[in-house]
Amino acid sequence: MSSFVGIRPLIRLILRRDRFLLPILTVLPAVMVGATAAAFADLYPTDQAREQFATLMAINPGITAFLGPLHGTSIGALTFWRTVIVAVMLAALPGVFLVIRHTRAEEQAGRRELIGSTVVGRHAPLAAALLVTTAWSILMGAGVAAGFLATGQPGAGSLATGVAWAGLGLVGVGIGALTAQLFENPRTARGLAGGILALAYVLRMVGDVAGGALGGLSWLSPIGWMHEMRPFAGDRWLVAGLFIGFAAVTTAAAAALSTRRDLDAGVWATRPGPATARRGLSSPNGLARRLHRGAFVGWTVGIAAYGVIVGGLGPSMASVLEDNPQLMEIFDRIGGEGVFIDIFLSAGLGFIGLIGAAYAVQAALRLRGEELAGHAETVLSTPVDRMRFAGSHALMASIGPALAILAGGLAAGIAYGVVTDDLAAQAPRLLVASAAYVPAALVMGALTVALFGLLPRASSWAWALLITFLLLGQLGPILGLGQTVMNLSPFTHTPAVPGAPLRVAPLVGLTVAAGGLFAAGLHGFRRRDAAIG
Amino acid sequence: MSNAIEVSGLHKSYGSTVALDGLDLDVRTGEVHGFLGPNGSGKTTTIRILLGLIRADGGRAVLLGGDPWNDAAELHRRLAYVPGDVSLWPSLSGGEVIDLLGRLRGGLDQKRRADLIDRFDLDPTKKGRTYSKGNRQKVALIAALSSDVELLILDEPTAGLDPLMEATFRELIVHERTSGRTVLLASHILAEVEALADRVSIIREGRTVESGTLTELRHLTRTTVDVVVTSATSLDGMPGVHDLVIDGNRARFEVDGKALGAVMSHLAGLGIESLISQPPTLEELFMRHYGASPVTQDA
Repeated sequence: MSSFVGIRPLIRLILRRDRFLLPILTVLPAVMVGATAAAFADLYPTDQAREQFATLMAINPGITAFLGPLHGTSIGALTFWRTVIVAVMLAALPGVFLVIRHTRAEEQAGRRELIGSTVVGRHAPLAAALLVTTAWSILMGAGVAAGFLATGQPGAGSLATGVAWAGLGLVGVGIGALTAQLFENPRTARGLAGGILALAYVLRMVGDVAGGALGGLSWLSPIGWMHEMRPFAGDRWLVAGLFIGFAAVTTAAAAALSTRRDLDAGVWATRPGPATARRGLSSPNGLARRLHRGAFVGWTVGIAAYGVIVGGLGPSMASVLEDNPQLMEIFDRIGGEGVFIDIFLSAGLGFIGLIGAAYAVQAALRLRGEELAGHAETVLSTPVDRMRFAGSHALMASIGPALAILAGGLAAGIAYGVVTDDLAAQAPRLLVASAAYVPAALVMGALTVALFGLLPRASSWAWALLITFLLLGQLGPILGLGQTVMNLSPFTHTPAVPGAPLRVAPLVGLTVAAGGLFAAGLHGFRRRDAAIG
Repeated sequence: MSNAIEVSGLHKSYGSTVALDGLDLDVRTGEVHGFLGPNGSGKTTTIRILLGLIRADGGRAVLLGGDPWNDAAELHRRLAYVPGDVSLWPSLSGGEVIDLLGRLRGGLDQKRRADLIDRFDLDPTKKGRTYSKGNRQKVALIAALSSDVELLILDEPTAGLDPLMEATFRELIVHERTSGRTVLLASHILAEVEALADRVSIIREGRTVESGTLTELRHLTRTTVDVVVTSATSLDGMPGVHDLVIDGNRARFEVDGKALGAVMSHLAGLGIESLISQPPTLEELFMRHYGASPVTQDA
């Protein structure tokens, strides 16, 4: 067991570093599900009201596509179903980030080398990170179960929900542990892990909407497994084995990889680069273009692929409408099945906008990364002033997400146009519609730049703000939060085109706000000390 | 303009930590100026203020006749900087970084670039993340030395270099001086500063404690004398003589720079059989200011 020597102090180190973060991440999900359950009990107090709601949800494949299938009509079942997407944000993503933070990020910072030179076994650092994150997953799941119990839900269902949340947390941990072994750069590892979670979401979406032979796709997705646990609607305990199996396989693979590679190295060797720089690499903008290139390609390809799926699924919405004369009648009155499909497409574009916003935050945070790594010092000691340096990254954090969102809209339009044989009209229509989702993403990038300039140490709080806005969008209406609170989120102001009428004023407002925030951030950076690397 | 850098009474605090406490520094145009001080004494903070990366809380700093904070980008056309801990972009090759920095500074001399890569024995195709500390330092040095600038600001530039490369570095700095460039060389490698610097400033806890040419500084401190004479007893009590140890007709003592002449004339009258005199090394000068040497205890 000598390879695990020193694990105790390492565990204490992780607990010390995350002494605020871990308790928050443990308690927050419980609070969220508890509040949602209480809100559902208020909104739909009777069995009849809930059954009506469930029927309405079940016949709307748009809802099924984005939130997953609803099983059961109890308050517990409704709450569980509505918060699966929240579990992706509050269980899976934190699992990924925590484990990468304590493995690859430590290694890249050179601290793992320092630790490794002391009396610490080969497996101890990875094992310590896995133990802490696994314990977090279980505690967080227990908290979720307690949150359901506290609102008076049945014990078995509450426990099954807790298991599902803990399971998704473990899946995040497993994915993070694995991708952390593959790449030298923690950013790349986080990117791939995020991509895998996005794939899981898309697989479930396609499986649940397309059904038939493709229905099996949901079973390939850990997010699909959550729904298949069916808490409060049969409690299928065996599904828990899938989470455990997935976590076991991925962590075992991570451990195996970690013994086969060198410290600081990824699985793939670094290839040599050119001996001289290309002509383009001669200005701050040229450098920023180069540094943001990889992320731009990754996010754009991912968003475009998602757009293809959304567009491709569009027509299947129509078939559902045809199967349901009642719904058909409603939509006939407000404009026919085209409107119905457009509502679905709007939800898809809205999601593309959210991913674009996450990309904007990540790209804008590059500024802080460059500063802390000491690269800003190098650039700023040349005849490059603060504005040109910060502006070059702010530009990339604007153009990149904007292009990625437009690519998603175009991809959705092409897919939808090909399937409906109406390419010439649909491709430009959805491309233009997707432009409406750009300003909110710009605001998130600008907000990050503002934090960087004015409150540099709080830069990464941009992620917390993004998650808050996303939760607001998901749960705000259910929790009955007032319009004033909802208005805090930039995403509230985006008109859901093409399903809803286009309103230009809020888009202008968002763009102006983004401009103001960018200006405030750049101005703040011009006046403050650059951090010591 | 005779001074490339003029700093007086510079103050900088981080919360309750005082980094600079009235620091003075004058670097004359065309000289190699050694900037000496132990870790944490404020060398890097001073340089960062001179580069406009951070703002001084008080005092005056003039760089190449301009204001380091307000005219930063304009002044940076005329200087090149090598940080103490060079951090390269992990995905860029060394050659790309050299070209990028050179172009940002307004172009670089291709012939000199090739020559320097050769002399430093650097592989420019390796990616930033795969370089060792010394190689990262070489990348920054090559970029700085192949730019056409008036002033080089080097913060412990040889910290990661092997002795062979250190020698190459010294040759290059000597060459830079002959071609008229000004060099601010922050270091705690005293032999390097002793070999290269025209003048030095020694700082301690954010304040300048000594500044001048090495000769001037030596004059301020003591020379060690080891002498064999017919009778040494009369040395006892002589002004300027310290730590006298008499062992038969052999005497060892230290003598103040100012009293050196008088003591030597006195010794001549005592019939010198042998004499060894050692001027203070820079190390002794340096140590004198940090309480590590017994000399200061009774001074």
